[in-house]
Amino acid sequence: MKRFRLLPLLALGCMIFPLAQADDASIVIKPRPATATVLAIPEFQPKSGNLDPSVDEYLKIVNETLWNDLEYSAFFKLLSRSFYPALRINEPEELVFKDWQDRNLGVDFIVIGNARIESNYLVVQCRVFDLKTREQVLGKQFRTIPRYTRAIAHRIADHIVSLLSANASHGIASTQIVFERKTRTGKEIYLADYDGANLQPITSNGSINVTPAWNPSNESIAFTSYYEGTPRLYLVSLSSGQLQAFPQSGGLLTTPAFSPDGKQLAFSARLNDASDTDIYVADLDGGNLRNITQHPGIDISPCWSPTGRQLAFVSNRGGVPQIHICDTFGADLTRITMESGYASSPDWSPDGRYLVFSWKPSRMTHFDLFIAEVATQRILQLTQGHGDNENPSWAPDGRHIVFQSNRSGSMEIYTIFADGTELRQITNLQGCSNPDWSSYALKN
Amino acid sequence: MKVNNRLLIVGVAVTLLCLAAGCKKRTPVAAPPAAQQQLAAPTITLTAQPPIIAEGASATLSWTTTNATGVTIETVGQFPPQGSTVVSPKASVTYVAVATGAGGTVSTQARVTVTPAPVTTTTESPRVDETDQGFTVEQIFKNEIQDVFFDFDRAEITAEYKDILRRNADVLIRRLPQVGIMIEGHCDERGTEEYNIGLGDRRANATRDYLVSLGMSATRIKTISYGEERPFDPAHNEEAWAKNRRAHFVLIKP
Repeated sequence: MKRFRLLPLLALGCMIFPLAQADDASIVIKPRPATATVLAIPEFQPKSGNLDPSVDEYLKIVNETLWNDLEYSAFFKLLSRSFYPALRINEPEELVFKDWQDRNLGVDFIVIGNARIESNYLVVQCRVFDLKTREQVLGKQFRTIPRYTRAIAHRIADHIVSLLSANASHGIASTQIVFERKTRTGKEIYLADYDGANLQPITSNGSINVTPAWNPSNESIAFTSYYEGTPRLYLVSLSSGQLQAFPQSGGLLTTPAFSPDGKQLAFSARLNDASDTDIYVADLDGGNLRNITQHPGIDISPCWSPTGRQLAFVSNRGGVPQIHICDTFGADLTRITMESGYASSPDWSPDGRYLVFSWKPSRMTHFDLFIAEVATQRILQLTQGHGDNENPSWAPDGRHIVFQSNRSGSMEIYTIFADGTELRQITNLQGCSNPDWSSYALKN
Repeated sequence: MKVNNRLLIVGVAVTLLCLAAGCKKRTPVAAPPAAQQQLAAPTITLTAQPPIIAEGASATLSWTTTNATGVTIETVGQFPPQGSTVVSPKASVTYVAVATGAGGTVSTQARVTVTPAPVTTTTESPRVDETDQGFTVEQIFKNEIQDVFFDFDRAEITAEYKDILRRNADVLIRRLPQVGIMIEGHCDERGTEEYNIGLGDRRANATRDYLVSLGMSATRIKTISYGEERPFDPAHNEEAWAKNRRAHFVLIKP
């Protein structure tokens, strides 16, 4: 198992280099289980009686997507299909437990399923069996239009992760990522599934639209737009597409961040007579506005702690941009990054223990991703030696991170496991930046 | 001369008196009471301050005396035993002061040196009202107004660009008083995108504040930060980055 994990790590070159200030004990982020749960996932088959051959095309997508989702969840070891018994499994009755147990493959759970087309709808059935007890532990049927085939696979993956991780994660396969995409005239906000599929524009106004941020309910996105000239904040509903300007305006409003309860926004603003930006907190209707920094210099890029009681933000009050935290009234200010250099774009982990941020220590030439343990201020480096790596955002499972990197030549969006392994490029669109990862899609 | 004559007369009289007394009574006696009551001769000091003056300037003559009842300064006038007076000689001169008292007269002198005045002429600067002719507001703006450039991660205006802003302010105040301007703050791509929005804002506002300190009305100036979103040179090298760290002036038509 250990050797298996080392290979991708070396191949990606994303090794972990604890900095000098990190003492002996290195940070371990949500470690993988000591003994990984082993899954067998025989390919889902057309359900007997299905007469529409197009189901094969959809099944291919389901099988491939489900495999990738479960592998990327980093909770399981997937047993390669070349070891499986030859017999295809369509219905639970066709599952011969003895075949699997006799082979001594170490499989803990087996996932089986089938699909059919029914009145132009795709119907997928899925069951999970515990090979030790031979009991069914999960059984679901999903029905949707074929266009959403991938969504079914993601849904199945999330149910399996929720069940077999004992709710350590609700599964990130159905989550989405918003980001900026460079255009000829400026930037537009785009939305994609967590694996980069299903790309959709959210804005298309020809102006500059930046700094997208999810509402924790996943129902809306806040962002900065130059659409009306002066940059200000807008909220867009994903279901209705309705755009609403945040009522507060001024010289500059940007970098919105929803509070964990979704009822407040923290943002950076220079209101009319100020000479620089400060961090403000206000209700979504603009009420109860308060300045929580009131300090000369640039204060920008706030993010909330998951309790909603603290904020992390970037300030150059020490001369260069550095990460600071304070409570939501500005008290108890602490600087997190103690070494010099340029630190930016903090995001607080869902369990509240860590901040991930991009940092260019003064001895370095590029931005890389770092994780700081808030309580101890110990630091872990996630990326190194591959261009600039910026704007990280945690997945809701607290185990994955999305960020932008120009390692391939153009700026693109990548995801990575929080120990620096499992790098995945999810865009190839010549200019994507500033991603924000949604909350869980399923909150069972 | 008069003083000398008078002195001579007094001296002769005293001598004759002594001789007469001595001839009359040969007894060796002390000096006669009249002679004893004859008081000591006066003394005088005279100063000129300053001793050297420019042509047309003044000096003050001051004197003090003892045993004097009056002071006469030649060519100036008669004065009390103590005092001062202001003189404005046209050329260097030695003032002679004579103190006169019961005990006689005494004189002293003080010199005031007059140096020639420096040659000065009064001048007049011509006032010519100058207005632009044949140029549109846009052309003047394009030709005269220059952008301001910044160091990496800084929003301070360096001395070089303070000079440029002084010229910009002069043009905007005198030649284009009717226009408004937009100052755009821009950054290079090396910082992080969000922080650069704040940095561009600082650059635009630092530029505005400096123009306002030079007398330009703040109501004529708007600012906007584009962060790193609108680079002037899209290349990824120091030459391009230097061009992209700027406060850019845009004309708002009247």
